[in-house]
Amino acid sequence: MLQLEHVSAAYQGGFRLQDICFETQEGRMTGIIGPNGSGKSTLLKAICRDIPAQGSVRIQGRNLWEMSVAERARTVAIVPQDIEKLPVPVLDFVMMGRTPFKKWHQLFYSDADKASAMEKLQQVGLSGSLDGRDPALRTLDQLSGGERQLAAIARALCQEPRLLLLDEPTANLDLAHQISVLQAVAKAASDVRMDTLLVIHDINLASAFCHNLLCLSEGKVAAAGGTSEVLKKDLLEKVYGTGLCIGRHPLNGRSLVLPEV
Amino acid sequence: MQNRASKYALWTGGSVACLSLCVLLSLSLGEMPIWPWQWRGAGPGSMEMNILVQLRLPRTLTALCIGGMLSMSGCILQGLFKNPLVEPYTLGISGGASLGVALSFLGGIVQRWGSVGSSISAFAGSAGIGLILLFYHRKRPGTGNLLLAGIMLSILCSSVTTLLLSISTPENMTRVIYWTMGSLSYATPQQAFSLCGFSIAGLASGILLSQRLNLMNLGEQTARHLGVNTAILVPALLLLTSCLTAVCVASAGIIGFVGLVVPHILRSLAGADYRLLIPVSFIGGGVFLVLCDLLARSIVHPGQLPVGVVCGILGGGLFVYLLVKPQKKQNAPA
Repeated sequence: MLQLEHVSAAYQGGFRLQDICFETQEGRMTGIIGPNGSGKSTLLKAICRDIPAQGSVRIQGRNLWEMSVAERARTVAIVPQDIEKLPVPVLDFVMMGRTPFKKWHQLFYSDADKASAMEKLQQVGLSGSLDGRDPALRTLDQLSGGERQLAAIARALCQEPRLLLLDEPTANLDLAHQISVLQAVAKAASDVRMDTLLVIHDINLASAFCHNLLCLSEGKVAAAGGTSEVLKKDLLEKVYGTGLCIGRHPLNGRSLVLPEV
Repeated sequence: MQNRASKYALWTGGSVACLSLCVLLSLSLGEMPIWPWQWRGAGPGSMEMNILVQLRLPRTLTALCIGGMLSMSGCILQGLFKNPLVEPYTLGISGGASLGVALSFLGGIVQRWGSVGSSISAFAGSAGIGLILLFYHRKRPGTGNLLLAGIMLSILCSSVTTLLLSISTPENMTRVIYWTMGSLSYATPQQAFSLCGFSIAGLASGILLSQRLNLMNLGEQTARHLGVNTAILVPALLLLTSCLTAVCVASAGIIGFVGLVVPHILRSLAGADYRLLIPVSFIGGGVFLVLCDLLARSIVHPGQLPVGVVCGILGGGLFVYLLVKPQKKQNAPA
């Protein structure tokens, strides 16, 4: 379980996050929503200590910021928004997730690391979509944007984290890839009962896949709780500054957010 | 995995064979050719044996070690900064050495201590710049900041050296300029053996850090997320490359282009896996400098050209060829 206690974070002097208090439920997927500049990605950076931050971040009661770099990497994995098109074989890229478990003098990954990477590639459904080519031969720059995201998720899963952070994993993807990426995350999270924190702009996708939502506005918590508790017309209109309609999904009854225009 | 092992074996074996051939050529050729089949006939104390042991062997070993260390340093820095145009001298290491030597000539250290004085001054100048960069990195982490600081220090050192030369005597000015051209003429057996020690230690450290350098290829932040302690790794790599470069500059003056061209060419041929690229760059740099030195002492008779000049011309030519040639895709296993 992730607990954020009075987390504030600064970007070059100016505070972007102010006094964030929040906790997730174990094994649940939590979406972070909010307008541009509200501090969604900054919150992920603060959790990873990529930017100076105050307060405390606890996972299973332990302070994340007091852990060593390797231990932190075994506890939290992050999938960035953009995965660079590197000429790195997919299998090697995924195996890099085993780094926190290696000794500093170990130059090569073991057969067990390779088996773990292959398993995670299968888990995210990527091994079947490589046109039958060996992931040791196919390189990252030969994959589509969605496949690169899946490879990055597989790498993050190789870290066997207790908390998975995803920074807009569906940005720039078509609808089919958006759904396959989020399904892979949801399946992996439920398989290993891992907490997942997902920054997402598409409120309807957040409603479809997340159990809980954290809505940020101007660096502060505007609302937090179950999806139906957060996706309220008045709150969203105030946060996004535009007219909205809230409906229901005809099949599963989840909230749908549509523009008034 | 098996393909990778055979690739490593092929590259390492091939480059060691190539190096052995170059070393044999370097030992054999000169004003008096002494071919390997003549070595057995040359008894202890004979002129041939003295030329081989006292002159050619130290010079060849010195060229091999300096070429190897400069090339390996360039390879590490290009990986660290994710920039193929970075070389050991970009960070101001050579600028610091030149400044140290210029100061030692003006202060009378060289006149009193001879070449030992210029070597110590060059090492002090290079190491000083390395320490400033390390201190700066602690204050402002990030490889981008570090590269910018290095370039600024290089320009600063170069300007101060020019200022010092402009107020020094014509004799001192000539000697400093000649030193900056780089030369292996003064190689001694003692120097060659100590350079071998530095090379072995440097190569072992480089290979040990090579897997972490592969992860830096994904970016400093991603490497940290994967468990690499970049707060230790970046200064460690900087310290290693600064020390190796300082040793090279102090031993033979400024020999440019080895650290830029050799890793660049090898990366396009062997891929960007630093576990292979670091040892192969070391051997490739050694081969390049041994060949350049062979040319430097063979083109003009009597006398010889400064090896730094030959390296610059040959390296520059190769680099222009690489820029003009269509790019081949790299394969960079992790």
